[in-house]
Amino acid sequence: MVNGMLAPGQTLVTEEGEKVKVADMFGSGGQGEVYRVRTRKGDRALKWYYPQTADNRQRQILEGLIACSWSDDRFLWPQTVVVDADGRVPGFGYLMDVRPDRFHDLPALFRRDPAISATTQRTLVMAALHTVEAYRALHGKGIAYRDINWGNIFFDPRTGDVLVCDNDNAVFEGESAGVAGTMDFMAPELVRGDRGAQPGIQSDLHSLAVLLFLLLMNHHPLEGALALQIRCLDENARKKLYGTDPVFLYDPNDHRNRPVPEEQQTVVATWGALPPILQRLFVETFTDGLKNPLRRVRESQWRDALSEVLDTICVCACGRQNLTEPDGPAPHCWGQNCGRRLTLPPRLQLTIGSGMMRTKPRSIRLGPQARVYAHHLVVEAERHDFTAVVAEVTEHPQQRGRFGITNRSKNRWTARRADGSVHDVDPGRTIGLSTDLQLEFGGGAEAVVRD
Amino acid sequence: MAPAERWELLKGEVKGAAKKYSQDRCTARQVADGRAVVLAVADGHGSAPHFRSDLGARWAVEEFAACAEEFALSAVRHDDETEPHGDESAWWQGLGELRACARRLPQLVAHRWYERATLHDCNSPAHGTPQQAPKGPDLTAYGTTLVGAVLTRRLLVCWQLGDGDVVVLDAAGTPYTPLYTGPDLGDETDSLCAPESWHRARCHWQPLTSEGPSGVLLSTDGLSKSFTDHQGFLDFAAGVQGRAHELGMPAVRSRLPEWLSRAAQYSGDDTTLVGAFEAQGHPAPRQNDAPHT
Repeated sequence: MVNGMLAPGQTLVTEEGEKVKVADMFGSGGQGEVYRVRTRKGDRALKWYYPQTADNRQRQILEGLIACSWSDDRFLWPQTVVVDADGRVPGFGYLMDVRPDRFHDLPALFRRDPAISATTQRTLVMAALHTVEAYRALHGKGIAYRDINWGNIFFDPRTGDVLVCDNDNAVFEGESAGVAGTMDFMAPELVRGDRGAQPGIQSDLHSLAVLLFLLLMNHHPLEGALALQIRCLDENARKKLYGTDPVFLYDPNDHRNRPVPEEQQTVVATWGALPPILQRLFVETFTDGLKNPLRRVRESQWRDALSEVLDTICVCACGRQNLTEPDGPAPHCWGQNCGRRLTLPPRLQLTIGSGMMRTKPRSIRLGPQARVYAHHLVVEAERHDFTAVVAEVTEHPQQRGRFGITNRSKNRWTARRADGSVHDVDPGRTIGLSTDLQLEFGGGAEAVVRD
Repeated sequence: MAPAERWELLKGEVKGAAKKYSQDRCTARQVADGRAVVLAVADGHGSAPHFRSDLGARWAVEEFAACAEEFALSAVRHDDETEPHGDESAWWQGLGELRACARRLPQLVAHRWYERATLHDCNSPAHGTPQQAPKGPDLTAYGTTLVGAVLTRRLLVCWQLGDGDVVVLDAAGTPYTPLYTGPDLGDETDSLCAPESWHRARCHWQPLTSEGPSGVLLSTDGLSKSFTDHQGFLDFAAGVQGRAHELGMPAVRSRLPEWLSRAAQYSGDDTTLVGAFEAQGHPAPRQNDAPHT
């Protein structure tokens, strides 16, 4: 049994006067210990701060966050402050929901833990997209997270759902607060301690990009050859790596920090398999964005690019999912023992909105089981909901290899074939896929099938 | 109590019954003027494809010890910074960066191990001729596991790559295994010789907020495999501490090889154990003192 600050069976009390009973310790972190506690409403997680970190400022931050009473399923948001009513244990903590077992941390991904074996390229991109949208929602409320790192994001390998934990360092933009975070995730200006540099939404964008790179590339974006030259845990050397002389692994103009293939083969492989649309964003944010915070890639840019890439994932004949460049040429399969050029399925070119808000066409590759979701039909969807299916590519029940697109919405569509014939597609009905088939989903959303 | 007497160390290793020599290596040392302890065991895989795994295990222990000592020094220095002011907030507020270092340590160790193995393989190719594979040399011959720990008065951090065991005895002497993932299925294990092996390392991070552990034991899997169940192994670990209390550490040190030999008879494997125990008095030894097996 781990000896922590709180003992099993100990009773504490919430600000509302409700008693909670300590059960066992989940683990220790950088700021405190997390326990399972029994409450009247069921089990909750209690983060109890280390002595001295439970100061007035932290309490103030916490109470501000609790006052938001934000119930977003992507965040384990602080619910209420907890104290020891008897005063035997000084300090305080806060309650949050218990993280469900389906969520796993990034180290589990890096070590290819059997628990995350259901992870695919698609669910990884979905996790990246959900991560971006979660922070976008937070930033949209004017809150800076300030401590984005690989220890506080968890993902479901089957669905790509994410859960952001340790939200207790978040503050409203502009509020003064101490520097939070660890060097490897901090924006360079914070690592250097530049005059006037404060953690906020702009520095979150750097940390978010690091997190995305780790998620998709399974490697830190600044830890190439230069990192391997650091022989020890030297603070100055780390400051140089992340702050005074940060060099992106794939900086097109500075090759000093390229990955060492013999020791860092994963990132060599994953970067090679990354579509240029995402490569460009990483290069932008880790070159110009390292020097100028205003040049950092914003959440909406990540969201749009990740969403497009998600729609154009293609499965090779060998069974491996490949990320492809939207509307780009067919890449070679990135499977180690495959490497053959992919055969790209036809694509649905979708245009939505009206007037000035009319979008440029975006492509959805129509592989087996491809789907159109409700977010595809909205110009500025708040979030991607992969349960809201509007249309789905399905195989003919009697004729294998013949595919159609099935209406999963509640609206009737209109379809126009290349020969000019017009058909209604009622909810639940399917129309066979063919080149130049046009579909009207309603609300100005139109699509055409292209080879 | 003077800092140097905070922990008493234990180290024992025996060769597997049918083996020519042991492929296990270990270390247990006081560092930072006795204010921290570094423990490590490595289990060279030993089978024919891993015919240089004794070297791999030695380098694993040496490189871990070098990095862990530096980590321990950082932790102790950080602790020192809070002392003059009597204000402990600096310690707690700086834990995040120490934790990041702890996470980074396996990467450093793996890199240093890789350099040593590569250099050795260049000078004396394991397969007769130097290999020019684009992904680097095949270091299978040197394959080894690694389990390590750093203990200071305020912090316990354990790392594990591959099989082996960490047992922590809480203040009351009750054992728990922070990195245990269930019984091993088969002989496959993660290894330093695998590409980017550091990704597979697991880390237990435990700032000591209450009473610290009364003991920390690290062992190669030869020991735990000699017990019919996990509880038996835990009982043994707790028993070692019990014997240390009863007999004193010098007596336990002298008897440890015998206890490990008995265990090795069951597993047939090299068996290595290192430990650090909270120092205390040394009662007189008794006969018939093997821990519960």
